[in-house]
Amino acid sequence: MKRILLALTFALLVSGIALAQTGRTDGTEESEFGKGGYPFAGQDNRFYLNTSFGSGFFKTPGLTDTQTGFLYGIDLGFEMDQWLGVQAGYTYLSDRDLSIFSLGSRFAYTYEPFVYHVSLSAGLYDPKIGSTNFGLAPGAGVDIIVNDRVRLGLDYKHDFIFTDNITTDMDRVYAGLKFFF
Amino acid sequence: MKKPIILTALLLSLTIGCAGPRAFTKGTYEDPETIALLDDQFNENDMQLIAKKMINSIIESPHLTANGKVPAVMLGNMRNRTTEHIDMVMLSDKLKTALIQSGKLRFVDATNRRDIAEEYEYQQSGYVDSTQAKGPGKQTGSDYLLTGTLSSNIQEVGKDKLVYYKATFQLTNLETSEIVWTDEKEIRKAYKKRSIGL
Repeated sequence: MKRILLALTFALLVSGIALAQTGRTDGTEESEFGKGGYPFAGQDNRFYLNTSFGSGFFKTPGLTDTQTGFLYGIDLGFEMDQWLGVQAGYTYLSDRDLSIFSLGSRFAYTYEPFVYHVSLSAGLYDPKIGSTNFGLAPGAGVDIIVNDRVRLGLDYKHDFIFTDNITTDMDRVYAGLKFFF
Repeated sequence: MKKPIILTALLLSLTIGCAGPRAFTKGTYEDPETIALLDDQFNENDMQLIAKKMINSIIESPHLTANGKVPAVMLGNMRNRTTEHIDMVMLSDKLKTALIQSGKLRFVDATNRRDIAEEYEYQQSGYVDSTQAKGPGKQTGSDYLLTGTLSSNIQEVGKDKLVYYKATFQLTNLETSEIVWTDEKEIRKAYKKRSIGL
């Protein structure tokens, strides 16, 4: 899974260098129909793929030690406007053998070349051993705009995992590549 | 557990601190014929589309080359009947440049007549070599007058806005006042308003 994600990230980075085709006024008559927008900045209504690699830090109430684990994941999102998007994702924490399936929204503010964002997602936390639990994960992060299609991001999320008796806290810090298409 | 929070907060504050005042800096040269609709006003792409249509139409018009002579044209009044401030001289210059370069039309310089007349007076005053001095009586007479009008119409409801332009140009025979050529270019642009100005 890790190797697939790494290969996908590399493939997205390479293909992201190519710029989208734009309209021109020196074409045939009426060839300008359907063309427009502003090709020199970000666009609206775009899907994106976000690969992430990082670490998760666990703190279970009643225990003094903090466990850490390697984290990798992939998100598929839709940016309906420069400031608003929704995304669904899968994250895997190796140390706890924990899979996280999440769905949430993302609010962003662009101040080029940075995009600052906050997010809120709901997720199902499915460990290999134990029962599946529901949780909420607010987060924040910053992306660096590499070009119109590629962004490099650093994110932080705090997970509140609700079980029958206690709530487990988890912090996730991860870096990732976001590719728009 | 607090370390990643502190690290992320530090990184965020650093990037905000490095942002600086919001000036337009670090520009790049872009192809002027790439379509870019940054706002809902008349722009260079609209001008290019109008000029392209008119130039091709004039060049292909059979009336202008009927007697085998390249006709001489004078630029007349280019009227802006829209609600925007549009530089009609920019549009007429683009037409004039392309038509002269095509070789299908000749243009007389009506805007510099006063300067030309002053120069005639000077050259005839005795200061200039008489064999080289230019004088009145040899200017080319225009055969046609090229005029144009740009109109617009705007429809706006809620978050949707339609901006419509119609450019109409015509060539008038100066002798008979007959309109020998006319064509129009219609442009419609559709816009959506952002929900929140972020």
